[in-house]
Amino acid sequence: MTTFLDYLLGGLGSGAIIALMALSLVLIWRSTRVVNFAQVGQAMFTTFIALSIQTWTGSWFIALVGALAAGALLGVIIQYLVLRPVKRNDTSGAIIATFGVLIALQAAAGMIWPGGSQAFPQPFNNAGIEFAGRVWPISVYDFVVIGITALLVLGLTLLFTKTSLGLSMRAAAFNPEVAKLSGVRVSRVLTFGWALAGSVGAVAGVLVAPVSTISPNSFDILLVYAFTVAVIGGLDSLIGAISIGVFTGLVISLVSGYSDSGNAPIVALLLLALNLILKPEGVFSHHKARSV
Amino acid sequence: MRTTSAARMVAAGAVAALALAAAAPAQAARIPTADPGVSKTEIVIGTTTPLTGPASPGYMYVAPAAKAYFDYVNTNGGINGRKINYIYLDDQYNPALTKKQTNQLILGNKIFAMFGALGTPSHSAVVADLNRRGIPDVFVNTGSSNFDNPSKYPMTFPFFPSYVVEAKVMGYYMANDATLNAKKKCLFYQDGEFGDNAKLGFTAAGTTFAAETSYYSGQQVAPFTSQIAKLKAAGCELVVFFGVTSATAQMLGTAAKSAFAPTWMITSVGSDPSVVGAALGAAGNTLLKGVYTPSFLVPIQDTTNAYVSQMKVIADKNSLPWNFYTYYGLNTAYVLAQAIKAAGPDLTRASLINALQTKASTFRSAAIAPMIISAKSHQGLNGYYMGQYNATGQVERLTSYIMTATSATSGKAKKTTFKPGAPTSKLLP
Repeated sequence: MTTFLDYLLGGLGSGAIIALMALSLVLIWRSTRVVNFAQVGQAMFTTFIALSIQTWTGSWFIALVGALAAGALLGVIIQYLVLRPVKRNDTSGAIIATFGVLIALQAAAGMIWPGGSQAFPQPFNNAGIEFAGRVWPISVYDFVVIGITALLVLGLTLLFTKTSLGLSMRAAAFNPEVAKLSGVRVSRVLTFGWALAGSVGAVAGVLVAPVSTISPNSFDILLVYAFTVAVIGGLDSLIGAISIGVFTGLVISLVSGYSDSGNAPIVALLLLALNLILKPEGVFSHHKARSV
Repeated sequence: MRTTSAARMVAAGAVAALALAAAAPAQAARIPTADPGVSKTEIVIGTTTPLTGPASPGYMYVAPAAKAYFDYVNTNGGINGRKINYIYLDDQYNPALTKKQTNQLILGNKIFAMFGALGTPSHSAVVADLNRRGIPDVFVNTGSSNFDNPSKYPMTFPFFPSYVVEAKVMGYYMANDATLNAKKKCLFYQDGEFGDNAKLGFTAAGTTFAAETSYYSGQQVAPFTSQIAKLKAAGCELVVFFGVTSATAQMLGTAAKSAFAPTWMITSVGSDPSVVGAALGAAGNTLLKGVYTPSFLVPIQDTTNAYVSQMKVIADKNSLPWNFYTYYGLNTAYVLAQAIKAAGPDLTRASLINALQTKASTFRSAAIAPMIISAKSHQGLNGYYMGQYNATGQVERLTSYIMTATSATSGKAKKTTFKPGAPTSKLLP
């Protein structure tokens, strides 16, 4: 029983991080209808920036704020320089362009921050909490991660449902032509969507780095899980990304514990396949899948 | 079918060459050297290695270090009057790119030999071609046991002991240390050929594990919480680890979080203290202290040693960081230079292969293990001493003896002693 609880608690922290990365994918999808494969690259890049800030200032909080700002800026730059020149209806062109951005970011990071994997200092206590006479694999830091994730989701939900900016973003993504006719400055709204997603991805990066290491390719595996989670969650649902993200974290942990870690990606893939067969529009989607 | 006929042709060629050399040395001397990449003044050597990409951390220093050594030899007159022209190309640890870069080296640069090509998957993509073309493929930088196969790959010579050998050595040490042997032993390995090779070695050594768990390459981005929980639940007291360096760091970090503190024994491949320390930050040295790891080179921090001190001077002159990778690169280049020298003034590919197969035991190096290469086995080194991390994150030699083994799927490691001979004058071949 304690082993089972160990597996569950262990899965919670990594689930929150997968959820955050999935959230940033969902944000781009919601505002631009593009799956952004460069997301992990952006998060990696801004985490390196955060590491530099942390080294200069010694403050984790300033580093986190710096990563948020850098994430937004990088999102805007990519949208301006790469995505805007791609023709509006050319979705596959846009997706391939994001792959290009990913490779470029990884190469650039390798040149700017050479020397391999680097440690990101632990901002909070990461020792397991002692309770009922034993140490459990969940720490103060895990609670910080879960707390920040919850706050972000709450903030984003309010933004999308209660503000006019959120309404414009949904309108611009759903039907750019009609939105334009209604006075929404579509291209500006799209740029804002990229900035927002960039910031969320940056937070995910800064949160995962202290329990991992940071190198140009260190977040690659996260993309696989985040993409799976985003699709299962319905691609445009914030709550879908979060709940499926945490669920996937738990499943990965249980599968690795009870069978073999090599089976974890296979189980994730099975979940995805099952989802595409049973509920192709996603578990939490607001829209019906297009039937052919 | 093609390989067979190619192998026959190589064999036939070798026999013909031997016959010529034996029967009519005077006549052989009149025939100009036909091998590409070697002239009266120059020898062209090539390497493929990851200088960029995910595998480049650490590995990117190996080829530049070898280059630093060859430059040093060149400024001191070269080998038998010939300067070494050393060309290393980036393959990003990507087999498709390795193929392209190897073709460039063979057809474009017309290399005499490949040297120190790095990476199991990448080198697997070109090894058959190099052998088909009869190009010496010397001191491959990988622990895969598959490359030591003279009947299939007559031109290929691995340098480092294989993972099978390392596992046998670990098994031998655990069985013969009363404290370690009394502990409940468990295994944590990387999925794929790496871990499979290790398991072969442990089976041969007769080591049994109370629990086994694994990770897949790339998974170390997240904490190994479930793996550690599994080992903890099984009551493991000694955990043997076969994985890469970044995974070692993640394993030690996660275990500390879960207050799981067994005795650790980790593979030499995953033990570079500069990388583990960088990944674990300030806590690194505390977590590493007492960890067992096999090693086969004179400890890197032993600057009173004649090999270490002289190699460090070359590294410093070329602004290379003094770490394991720089050390490996310099040391292997030093051994190759001796092999080329031993092949004699009339350097040919056949004479180089012959020198490797007959004179390897006379080559000097910083390795604390004998170099036994023959026509039957091309594996260079095959032994380790057991080391242990000290409080400052350095590996200290624990055993005065070494343990040797073969890569065969049966047979245990044996205890023996070995003292490396003094380096040659000024570290020149």
